[in-house]
Amino acid sequence: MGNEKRASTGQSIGGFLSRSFVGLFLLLSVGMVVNLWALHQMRERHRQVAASALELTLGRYRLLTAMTDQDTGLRSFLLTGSERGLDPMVRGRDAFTAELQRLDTLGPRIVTPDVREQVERQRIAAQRWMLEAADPLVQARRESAAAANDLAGRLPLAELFEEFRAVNQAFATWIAERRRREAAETDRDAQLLVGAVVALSLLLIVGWAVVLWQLKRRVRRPLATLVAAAEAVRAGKRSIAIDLPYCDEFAVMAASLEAMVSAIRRQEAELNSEMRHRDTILEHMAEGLAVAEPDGRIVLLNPAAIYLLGVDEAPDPHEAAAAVLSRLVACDPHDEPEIGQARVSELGDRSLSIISSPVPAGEGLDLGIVHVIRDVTDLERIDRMKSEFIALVSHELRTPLTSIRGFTELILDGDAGPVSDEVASYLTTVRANTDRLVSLVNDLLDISRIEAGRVTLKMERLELGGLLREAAGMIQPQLSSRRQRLDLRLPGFLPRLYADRDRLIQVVTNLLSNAHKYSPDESAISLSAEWRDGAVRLSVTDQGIGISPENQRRLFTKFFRADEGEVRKVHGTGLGLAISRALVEMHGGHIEVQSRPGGGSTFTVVLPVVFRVDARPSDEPTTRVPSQRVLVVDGDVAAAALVRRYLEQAGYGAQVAATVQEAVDAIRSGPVDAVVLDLLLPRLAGFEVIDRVREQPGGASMPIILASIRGDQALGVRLGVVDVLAKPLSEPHLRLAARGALDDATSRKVLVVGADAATRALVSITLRDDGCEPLPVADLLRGAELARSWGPDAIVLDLSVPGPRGEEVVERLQSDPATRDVPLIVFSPGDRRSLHDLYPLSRADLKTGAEPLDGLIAHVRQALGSAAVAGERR
Amino acid sequence: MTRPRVLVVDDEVDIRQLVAIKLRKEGFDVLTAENGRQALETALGEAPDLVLLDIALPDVDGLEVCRRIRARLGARAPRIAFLSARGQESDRAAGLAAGGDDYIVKPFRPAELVVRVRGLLDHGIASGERR
Repeated sequence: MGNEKRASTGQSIGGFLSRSFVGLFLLLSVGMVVNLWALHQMRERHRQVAASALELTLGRYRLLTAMTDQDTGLRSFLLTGSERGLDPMVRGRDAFTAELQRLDTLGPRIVTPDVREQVERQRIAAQRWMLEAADPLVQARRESAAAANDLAGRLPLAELFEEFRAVNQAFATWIAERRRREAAETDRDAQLLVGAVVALSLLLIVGWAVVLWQLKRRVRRPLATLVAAAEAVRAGKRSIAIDLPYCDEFAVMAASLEAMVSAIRRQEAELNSEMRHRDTILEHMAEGLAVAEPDGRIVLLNPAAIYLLGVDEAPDPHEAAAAVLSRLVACDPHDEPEIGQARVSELGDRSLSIISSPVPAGEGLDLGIVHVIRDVTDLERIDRMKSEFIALVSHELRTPLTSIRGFTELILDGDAGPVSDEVASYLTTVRANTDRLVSLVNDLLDISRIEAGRVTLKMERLELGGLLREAAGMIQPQLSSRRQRLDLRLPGFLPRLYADRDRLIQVVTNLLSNAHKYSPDESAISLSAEWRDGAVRLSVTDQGIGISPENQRRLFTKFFRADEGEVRKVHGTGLGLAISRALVEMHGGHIEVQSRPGGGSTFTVVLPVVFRVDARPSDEPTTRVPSQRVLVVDGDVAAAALVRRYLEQAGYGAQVAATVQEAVDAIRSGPVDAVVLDLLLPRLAGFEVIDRVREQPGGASMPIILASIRGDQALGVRLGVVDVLAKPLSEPHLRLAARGALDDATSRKVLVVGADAATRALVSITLRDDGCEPLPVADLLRGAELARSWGPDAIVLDLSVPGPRGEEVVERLQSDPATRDVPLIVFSPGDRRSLHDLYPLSRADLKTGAEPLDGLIAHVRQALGSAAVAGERR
Repeated sequence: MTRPRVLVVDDEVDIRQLVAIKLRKEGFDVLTAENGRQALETALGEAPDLVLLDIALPDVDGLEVCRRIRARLGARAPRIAFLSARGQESDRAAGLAAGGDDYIVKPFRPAELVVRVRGLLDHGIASGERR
């Protein structure tokens, strides 16, 4: 909002800081450079001054010396008159001239006009002395000493020399004076330089101060403003405008704070409206909703619930509702199986459906309960009416149908006298159509009951082969009428399944009947079964007219009839497949279709092979000996605690191990009678636990109950555990499994040895179904060891995968006194005779792999029976 | 041996007739009743060997009739088979629970009915002898 304004009126603190830094740095650098340069200059000048003073002093001194030499030479010449006496004078004059020349060459930096003037004065003074006194005297002396004497008295030789000396002295004084003056100047320069440094430092300090002051001004105030704004937001203000003078980082921050607050405001508004929405829904929904904490306290109760539970008069509806609910619903929050199941309770003249679902109330295992309460008084009434209606309709329709059909039959049976062929054929049509009507009524009743959820399956453990043969037998007359052939293809082994026998027959006969209807005369129909991927697949294949892909999609809808002319001729209600599908789905399975027009159809009923505990636990009180200890191995501490609680409630002693090592230690240190193992231990060590447990003394026969996500029994059989429970574990199932595992002492132990995993699994599952305790072992030699240590009641040895040790193991088992009397069933694909030849005297019951597996099971049963007899005799 | 006596109870005259005609043809002695009270009177008074009993009767329903016959006659009670249009599992269960020996669902084939009736009577005689 204020961004643009700020953009035009300011700069960022970062920019300000960097500019300030650069400015101050430049100032410092320039100052330093200037200072250093000045210092250098000063030093240079000082050096020059010193040098020039030296040169000039030297020059003055040499000039003086040269003059003194001349004077000395002159005087000695005047005294002696000897020309040699003039030599010093000549040397002095030369020296003087040379010195003048030298001074002249020193350069303008030393020989300034002042100096030149001084030197000029020397030269002039010297020249005057020379021209006005010395030279005439020399001239005179050369003439005569007297003339020289005479002239000496007139000429101012000494005065001129003194004059020169004075000039020379003045030069020295001048030099000294200048030296002093320059020293003073240097001092002044140095002071100036110090001043400049001081000034620069001051300038920098001031600059820094300005920067800091500015910074403080630009930080403290916006910061205070922002803090105030944040406080306001915290206090609940949801609309803020932060006005900052500059467009800097704080402005950006302020802008995002404003944006954040407006986002919060929006979200809060949404949340509020959502919550109001939800509250409104809760308040106005017809269903009552009550949420209870684990301790039973009601934390949420909507008006409908208050009304439905009849607690609107109560002083504290929540408390009253809790009381009513606990009376109506005895739902243990830790009990899982009741999830989503409605129970109908009578409260006064009202019928209430209460669905109670445990929900995690928070962390850990605390579970609350959500009760959804519905007034189903009307529904119940309507449901009753519907049932009555269906009963009435079925009765009202069936009664006339009974008459029609019955009398038709009477006539056809000849009970009313002889019937002509023509009449018989007409009456047969009447009867056939009556039958259609009857089956339509039956189907209608079926589908309406299924849809109303009024069909309950009578689940029992079924032997599939017999069931399929029965279904085939039922359809046979229909097939014969059109000379169709039914091939029943059953594999050697089929696991038993939990299913409703009558309903399953209904499904299979329906499919067979469809195949019959839509297939040409004299064609073949096959009914086959196989066990694959944990499911039983029952397939009905015909060579009939087939179904187009789009019809396949609609095939299972009610009253669907394919529209092709061919099909229309076939009688049917269009309900059969819908009913079949519903029934199969009630079994947890599904129906697959494979078909193409003209190419026949295959309908496959896929039924999961459900292994589970047969019944809910009986209410008999547990008379558990507490000495039986169960080890719970689970990496999840919370889950382990729950399992432990279940076990302790069931009367077992329970201890928990979280790692493989803890489990092994527990088994070594204390008596452990069974192990409950979660396969999902950290780092997939579940399988390792099984191996390690088996290695422990007594571990080979230790009952292990596996908790697995999939509850896959086949896996359990492969691993040699006594039971596999699906997670999440439920208490009843766990209790039953534990009971089964620990009371197994009476069940027959059968060692299943063989390299082929599938065979081991098959045999083991079948044996378990038979109430035996199978222990599958892959390795033959290990099997031979277990035959001694585990003490099985029978041994099944699968030699179908040929290995070098098969015969060796048979021999070992037969020769060892400990295993000699244990019935041994050898399952071998090989030549029966060869084994017989090998062990003519053994009691081994030899089977060949070509025979179906249930034959083998029969042998095991027989062997166990005889073993029991033998055991009794012993 | 006298002809077996069968009491047919049904409020529908057609059904009564149908059953009666068929059974008479097969050599049974047939009595009929069209409501519960009549059925009870006949069952107690005429001592039939078998009662074919409809459940949906206008006054006293068939289940009740069955219970009363059993209560009054005890071991001397005739065989009782229900003949009902209600074919659900629960209906059969209720019929057998009320003391029925068999439960035949309408619509039935007359020939099949005869087989069932014969079976019931043979069984009844056999078990009656055992008693």
